[in-house]
Amino acid sequence: MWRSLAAAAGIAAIVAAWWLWPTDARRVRARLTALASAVSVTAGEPDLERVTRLAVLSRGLAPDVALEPDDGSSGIRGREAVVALVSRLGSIGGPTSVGLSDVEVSVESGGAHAVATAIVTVRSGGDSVRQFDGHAVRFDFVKADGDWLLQRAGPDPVLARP
Amino acid sequence: MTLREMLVGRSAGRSLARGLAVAAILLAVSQFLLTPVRAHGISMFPTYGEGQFLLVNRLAYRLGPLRRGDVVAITLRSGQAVLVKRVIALPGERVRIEQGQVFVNGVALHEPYVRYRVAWEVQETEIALDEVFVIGDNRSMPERLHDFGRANRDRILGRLIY
Repeated sequence: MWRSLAAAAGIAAIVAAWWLWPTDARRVRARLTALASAVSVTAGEPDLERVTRLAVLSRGLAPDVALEPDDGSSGIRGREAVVALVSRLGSIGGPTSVGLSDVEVSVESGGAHAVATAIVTVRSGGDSVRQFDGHAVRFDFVKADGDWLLQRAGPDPVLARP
Repeated sequence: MTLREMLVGRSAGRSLARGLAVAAILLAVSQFLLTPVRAHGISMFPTYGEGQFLLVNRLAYRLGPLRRGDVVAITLRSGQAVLVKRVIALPGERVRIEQGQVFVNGVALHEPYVRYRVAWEVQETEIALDEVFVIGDNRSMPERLHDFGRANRDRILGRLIY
Protein backbone atom coordinates (compact mmCIF):
# COMPACT_ATOMS: atom_id res chain seq x y z
CA MET A 1 0.00 0.00 0.00
CA TRP A 2 2.78 2.46 0.91
CA ARG A 3 4.40 1.93 -2.46
CA SER A 4 1.11 2.78 -4.19
CA LEU A 5 0.66 5.88 -2.09
CA ALA A 6 4.23 6.93 -2.81
CA ALA A 7 3.58 6.40 -6.52
CA ALA A 8 0.39 8.49 -6.29
CA ALA A 9 2.25 11.24 -4.44
CA GLY A 10 5.00 11.12 -7.06
CA ILE A 11 2.49 11.45 -9.90
CA ALA A 12 0.77 14.34 -8.06
CA ALA A 13 4.13 16.08 -7.59
CA ILE A 14 5.00 15.69 -11.29
CA VAL A 15 1.57 17.04 -12.33
CA ALA A 16 1.89 19.98 -9.90
CA ALA A 17 5.41 20.79 -11.14
CA TRP A 18 4.25 20.63 -14.74
CA TRP A 19 1.23 22.81 -13.91
CA LEU A 20 3.19 25.44 -12.02
CA TRP A 21 6.40 25.52 -14.09
CA PRO A 22 6.81 29.10 -15.43
CA THR A 23 6.94 28.43 -19.17
CA ASP A 24 6.94 31.23 -21.75
CA ALA A 25 3.29 30.49 -22.54
CA ARG A 26 2.34 30.96 -18.89
CA ARG A 27 4.36 34.19 -18.71
CA VAL A 28 2.53 35.52 -21.77
CA ARG A 29 -0.80 34.52 -20.24
CA ALA A 30 0.08 36.28 -16.99
CA ARG A 31 1.16 39.39 -18.90
CA LEU A 32 -2.10 39.43 -20.84
CA THR A 33 -4.12 39.09 -17.64
CA ALA A 34 -2.15 41.95 -16.07
CA LEU A 35 -2.77 44.13 -19.12
CA ALA A 36 -6.51 43.43 -18.97
CA SER A 37 -6.51 44.50 -15.33
CA ALA A 38 -4.46 47.58 -16.21
CA VAL A 39 -7.06 48.82 -18.68
CA SER A 40 -9.95 48.16 -16.28
CA VAL A 41 -11.09 51.18 -14.31
CA THR A 42 -12.84 50.92 -10.94
CA ALA A 43 -15.42 53.43 -9.74
CA GLY A 44 -13.89 56.33 -7.80
CA GLU A 45 -10.37 55.12 -8.48
CA PRO A 46 -7.81 56.97 -6.33
CA ASP A 47 -5.00 58.81 -8.16
CA LEU A 48 -2.29 56.56 -6.73
CA GLU A 49 -4.13 53.45 -7.93
CA ARG A 50 -4.53 54.97 -11.37
CA VAL A 51 -0.83 55.82 -11.61
CA THR A 52 0.12 52.29 -10.52
CA ARG A 53 -2.28 50.77 -13.04
CA LEU A 54 -0.86 52.86 -15.87
CA ALA A 55 2.69 51.96 -14.85
CA VAL A 56 1.78 48.26 -15.07
CA LEU A 57 0.27 48.93 -18.49
CA SER A 58 3.33 50.80 -19.72
CA ARG A 59 5.68 48.03 -18.53
CA GLY A 60 3.75 45.47 -20.56
CA LEU A 61 3.79 47.33 -23.89
CA ALA A 62 6.46 47.32 -26.58
CA PRO A 63 7.58 50.84 -27.62
CA ASP A 64 6.00 50.34 -31.06
CA VAL A 65 2.79 48.70 -29.82
CA ALA A 66 -0.16 48.98 -32.21
CA LEU A 67 -3.84 48.67 -31.39
CA GLU A 68 -5.80 47.97 -34.54
CA PRO A 69 -9.58 48.27 -34.31
CA ASP A 70 -11.92 46.43 -36.67
CA ASP A 71 -13.50 49.57 -38.12
CA GLY A 72 -10.79 50.05 -40.75
CA SER A 73 -9.23 53.06 -39.03
CA SER A 74 -5.48 53.27 -38.54
CA GLY A 75 -5.74 52.63 -34.82
CA ILE A 76 -3.24 53.75 -32.21
CA ARG A 77 0.51 53.29 -32.35
CA GLY A 78 3.17 53.80 -29.73
CA ARG A 79 3.37 53.05 -26.03
CA GLU A 80 2.81 56.66 -24.93
CA ALA A 81 -0.27 57.06 -27.13
CA VAL A 82 -1.84 53.87 -25.75
CA VAL A 83 -1.14 54.82 -22.14
CA ALA A 84 -2.54 58.31 -22.77
CA LEU A 85 -5.72 56.82 -24.24
CA VAL A 86 -6.21 54.40 -21.36
CA SER A 87 -5.59 57.18 -18.83
CA ARG A 88 -8.59 59.01 -20.29
CA LEU A 89 -10.90 55.97 -20.32
CA GLY A 90 -12.06 56.44 -16.75
CA SER A 91 -13.18 60.01 -17.31
CA ILE A 92 -14.84 59.18 -20.65
CA GLY A 93 -16.63 55.90 -20.00
CA GLY A 94 -16.68 55.64 -16.21
CA PRO A 95 -15.87 52.32 -14.57
CA THR A 96 -14.80 49.78 -17.15
CA SER A 97 -14.05 46.12 -16.73
CA VAL A 98 -12.19 44.15 -19.38
CA GLY A 99 -12.45 40.38 -19.11
CA LEU A 100 -10.56 37.67 -20.95
CA SER A 101 -11.91 34.20 -21.55
CA ASP A 102 -10.57 31.07 -23.19
CA VAL A 103 -7.06 32.45 -23.55
CA GLU A 104 -4.87 30.38 -25.86
CA VAL A 105 -1.14 31.07 -26.17
CA SER A 106 1.30 29.69 -28.71
CA VAL A 107 4.99 30.53 -28.57
CA GLU A 108 6.67 30.46 -31.95
CA SER A 109 9.78 28.39 -32.48
CA GLY A 110 12.80 30.32 -31.34
CA GLY A 111 10.84 31.75 -28.45
CA ALA A 112 11.02 35.40 -29.53
CA HIS A 113 7.37 35.83 -30.50
CA ALA A 114 4.09 34.59 -29.11
CA VAL A 115 0.49 34.84 -30.19
CA ALA A 116 -2.44 34.78 -27.80
CA THR A 117 -6.10 34.66 -28.72
CA ALA A 118 -8.96 35.32 -26.34
CA ILE A 119 -12.59 36.30 -26.16
CA VAL A 120 -12.65 39.83 -24.78
CA THR A 121 -15.73 41.17 -23.04
CA VAL A 122 -16.17 44.71 -21.82
CA ARG A 123 -18.51 46.13 -19.22
CA SER A 124 -18.70 49.85 -18.78
CA GLY A 125 -20.74 52.51 -17.07
CA GLY A 126 -21.57 53.33 -13.49
CA ASP A 127 -25.21 53.14 -12.47
CA SER A 128 -26.41 51.74 -15.77
CA VAL A 129 -23.95 49.03 -16.70
CA ARG A 130 -23.41 48.45 -20.40
CA GLN A 131 -22.07 45.11 -21.50
CA PHE A 132 -20.83 44.33 -24.97
CA ASP A 133 -20.61 41.18 -27.02
CA GLY A 134 -17.56 38.97 -26.60
CA HIS A 135 -15.09 39.53 -29.44
CA ALA A 136 -12.23 37.35 -30.59
CA VAL A 137 -8.97 39.27 -30.33
CA ARG A 138 -5.43 38.32 -31.33
CA PHE A 139 -2.50 39.60 -29.28
CA ASP A 140 1.06 39.49 -30.61
CA PHE A 141 3.85 39.50 -28.05
CA VAL A 142 7.58 40.00 -28.50
CA LYS A 143 10.28 38.97 -26.07
CA ALA A 144 12.64 41.75 -25.02
CA ASP A 145 15.30 41.24 -22.36
CA GLY A 146 13.49 38.16 -21.11
CA ASP A 147 10.19 40.02 -20.74
CA TRP A 148 7.10 39.52 -22.88
CA LEU A 149 5.71 42.78 -24.27
CA LEU A 150 2.51 43.37 -26.22
CA GLN A 151 3.36 44.45 -29.75
CA ARG A 152 -0.01 44.32 -31.46
CA ALA A 153 -3.64 43.75 -30.58
CA GLY A 154 -6.39 43.50 -33.13
CA PRO A 155 -9.53 41.60 -34.02
CA ASP A 156 -9.25 37.95 -34.94
CA PRO A 157 -12.35 37.73 -37.10
CA VAL A 158 -13.87 34.29 -37.08
CA LEU A 159 -17.10 35.44 -38.67
CA ALA A 160 -16.99 37.21 -42.04
CA ARG A 161 -19.49 40.05 -42.25
CA PRO A 162 -21.35 40.55 -45.53
CA MET B 1 -15.13 -1.74 6.61
CA THR B 2 -12.11 0.07 7.98
CA LEU B 3 -11.27 3.72 7.38
CA ARG B 4 -8.36 2.64 5.23
CA GLU B 5 -10.65 0.52 3.07
CA MET B 6 -13.09 3.41 2.73
CA LEU B 7 -10.33 5.77 1.62
CA VAL B 8 -8.25 3.60 -0.69
CA GLY B 9 -10.25 0.37 -1.06
CA ARG B 10 -8.82 -3.06 -0.42
CA SER B 11 -5.95 -2.35 -2.78
CA ALA B 12 -4.49 1.14 -3.10
CA GLY B 13 -2.92 0.22 -6.43
CA ARG B 14 -6.25 -0.87 -7.90
CA SER B 15 -7.95 2.26 -6.54
CA LEU B 16 -5.30 4.41 -8.16
CA ALA B 17 -5.74 2.57 -11.46
CA ARG B 18 -9.52 2.95 -11.24
CA GLY B 19 -9.15 6.68 -10.51
CA LEU B 20 -6.83 7.17 -13.47
CA ALA B 21 -9.20 5.20 -15.72
CA VAL B 22 -12.17 7.35 -14.66
CA ALA B 23 -10.13 10.53 -15.23
CA ALA B 24 -9.10 9.28 -18.69
CA ILE B 25 -12.72 8.48 -19.58
CA LEU B 26 -13.92 11.91 -18.41
CA LEU B 27 -11.13 13.59 -20.40
CA ALA B 28 -12.01 11.61 -23.53
CA VAL B 29 -15.73 12.42 -23.15
CA SER B 30 -15.02 16.15 -22.72
CA GLN B 31 -12.67 16.19 -25.73
CA PHE B 32 -14.60 14.08 -28.21
CA LEU B 33 -18.24 13.78 -27.10
CA LEU B 34 -19.58 16.46 -24.78
CA THR B 35 -17.33 19.51 -24.48
CA PRO B 36 -18.13 22.11 -21.81
CA VAL B 37 -17.92 25.71 -23.06
CA ARG B 38 -18.92 29.07 -21.69
CA ALA B 39 -21.11 31.77 -23.26
CA HIS B 40 -19.19 35.05 -23.53
CA GLY B 41 -20.82 38.42 -23.86
CA ILE B 42 -24.49 39.11 -24.31
CA SER B 43 -25.09 38.29 -27.96
CA MET B 44 -27.11 35.14 -27.16
CA PHE B 45 -29.36 36.84 -24.61
CA PRO B 46 -32.03 35.88 -23.57
CA THR B 47 -31.40 32.26 -24.64
CA TYR B 48 -28.04 32.13 -22.87
CA GLY B 49 -26.61 34.62 -20.40
CA GLU B 50 -23.07 35.87 -19.93
CA GLY B 51 -20.80 33.29 -18.36
CA GLN B 52 -23.31 30.44 -18.57
CA PHE B 53 -21.80 26.96 -18.83
CA LEU B 54 -22.99 24.98 -21.85
CA LEU B 55 -22.40 21.54 -23.29
CA VAL B 56 -21.48 20.97 -26.93
CA ASN B 57 -22.32 17.73 -28.73
CA ARG B 58 -19.14 17.11 -30.75
CA LEU B 59 -20.71 14.29 -32.76
CA ALA B 60 -23.84 16.17 -33.83
CA TYR B 61 -22.60 17.05 -37.31
CA ARG B 62 -20.74 13.81 -37.87
CA LEU B 63 -24.01 11.94 -37.43
CA GLY B 64 -26.43 14.43 -38.97
CA PRO B 65 -26.71 17.65 -41.02
CA LEU B 66 -26.51 21.24 -39.86
CA ARG B 67 -29.99 22.70 -39.47
CA ARG B 68 -31.27 26.23 -39.38
CA GLY B 69 -31.97 27.27 -35.81
CA ASP B 70 -29.22 25.12 -34.30
CA VAL B 71 -27.10 26.88 -31.71
CA VAL B 72 -23.47 26.04 -32.42
CA ALA B 73 -20.06 26.60 -30.88
CA ILE B 74 -17.50 28.09 -33.29
CA THR B 75 -13.79 27.89 -32.58
CA LEU B 76 -11.22 30.63 -33.01
CA ARG B 77 -8.06 30.19 -35.05
CA SER B 78 -6.38 28.66 -32.03
CA GLY B 79 -9.00 25.92 -32.19
CA GLN B 80 -10.03 26.26 -28.58
CA ALA B 81 -11.91 29.42 -27.61
CA VAL B 82 -15.48 29.45 -28.83
CA LEU B 83 -18.22 31.79 -29.88
CA VAL B 84 -21.80 30.64 -29.36
CA LYS B 85 -24.18 31.63 -32.18
CA ARG B 86 -27.35 30.46 -33.95
CA VAL B 87 -27.33 29.13 -37.52
CA ILE B 88 -29.57 31.35 -39.66
CA ALA B 89 -28.69 30.40 -43.23
CA LEU B 90 -27.24 27.22 -44.70
CA PRO B 91 -24.78 26.62 -47.56
CA GLY B 92 -26.00 27.96 -50.89
CA GLU B 93 -28.71 30.18 -49.38
CA ARG B 94 -28.98 33.96 -49.67
CA VAL B 95 -29.49 36.01 -46.54
CA ARG B 96 -30.16 39.69 -45.84
CA ILE B 97 -31.50 41.77 -42.96
CA GLU B 98 -33.92 44.67 -43.43
CA GLN B 99 -35.15 46.75 -40.50
CA GLY B 100 -33.99 43.93 -38.21
CA GLN B 101 -35.97 41.26 -40.06
CA VAL B 102 -33.92 38.37 -41.47
CA PHE B 103 -34.76 37.15 -44.97
CA VAL B 104 -33.46 33.84 -46.27
CA ASN B 105 -33.83 33.32 -50.03
CA GLY B 106 -36.22 36.28 -49.98
CA VAL B 107 -38.55 34.81 -47.34
CA ALA B 108 -38.90 36.41 -43.90
CA LEU B 109 -37.51 34.10 -41.23
CA HIS B 110 -39.68 33.37 -38.20
CA GLU B 111 -37.45 33.70 -35.15
CA PRO B 112 -39.36 33.07 -31.92
CA TYR B 113 -36.08 33.15 -29.95
CA VAL B 114 -35.54 36.86 -30.72
CA ARG B 115 -37.21 38.96 -28.04
CA TYR B 116 -36.31 42.51 -29.08
CA ARG B 117 -34.82 43.80 -32.28
CA VAL B 118 -33.45 47.06 -33.59
CA ALA B 119 -33.30 48.05 -37.23
CA TRP B 120 -30.22 46.24 -38.48
CA GLU B 121 -29.46 46.55 -42.18
CA VAL B 122 -27.30 43.86 -43.79
CA GLN B 123 -26.92 43.58 -47.55
CA GLU B 124 -27.76 40.30 -49.23
CA THR B 125 -24.99 37.73 -49.33
CA GLU B 126 -24.80 34.20 -50.67
CA ILE B 127 -23.45 31.56 -48.35
CA ALA B 128 -20.67 29.42 -49.83
CA LEU B 129 -20.95 25.64 -49.78
CA ASP B 130 -18.46 25.34 -46.92
CA GLU B 131 -20.04 28.08 -44.79
CA VAL B 132 -23.09 28.89 -42.68
CA PHE B 133 -24.43 32.27 -41.57
CA VAL B 134 -24.69 32.74 -37.82
CA ILE B 135 -26.06 35.46 -35.51
CA GLY B 136 -26.73 35.71 -31.81
CA ASP B 137 -30.28 35.95 -30.49
CA ASN B 138 -29.77 39.39 -28.96
CA ARG B 139 -30.81 41.79 -31.74
CA SER B 140 -31.49 44.62 -29.32
CA MET B 141 -27.83 45.61 -29.35
CA PRO B 142 -26.26 47.80 -32.06
CA GLU B 143 -25.27 45.85 -35.15
CA ARG B 144 -21.62 46.97 -34.98
CA LEU B 145 -21.22 45.60 -31.46
CA HIS B 146 -22.64 42.19 -32.36
CA ASP B 147 -20.29 39.58 -33.81
CA PHE B 148 -22.09 37.81 -36.65
CA GLY B 149 -21.55 36.67 -40.22
CA ARG B 150 -20.37 33.73 -42.29
CA ALA B 151 -18.55 30.97 -40.47
CA ASN B 152 -16.52 28.23 -42.08
CA ARG B 153 -18.00 24.81 -41.31
CA ASP B 154 -14.58 23.55 -40.28
CA ARG B 155 -14.71 25.95 -37.34
CA ILE B 156 -17.96 24.53 -35.97
CA LEU B 157 -17.16 22.48 -32.92
CA GLY B 158 -20.65 21.06 -32.49
CA ARG B 159 -24.24 21.73 -31.50
CA LEU B 160 -25.21 23.00 -28.08
CA ILE B 161 -27.41 20.60 -26.19
CA TYR B 162 -27.76 22.73 -23.09
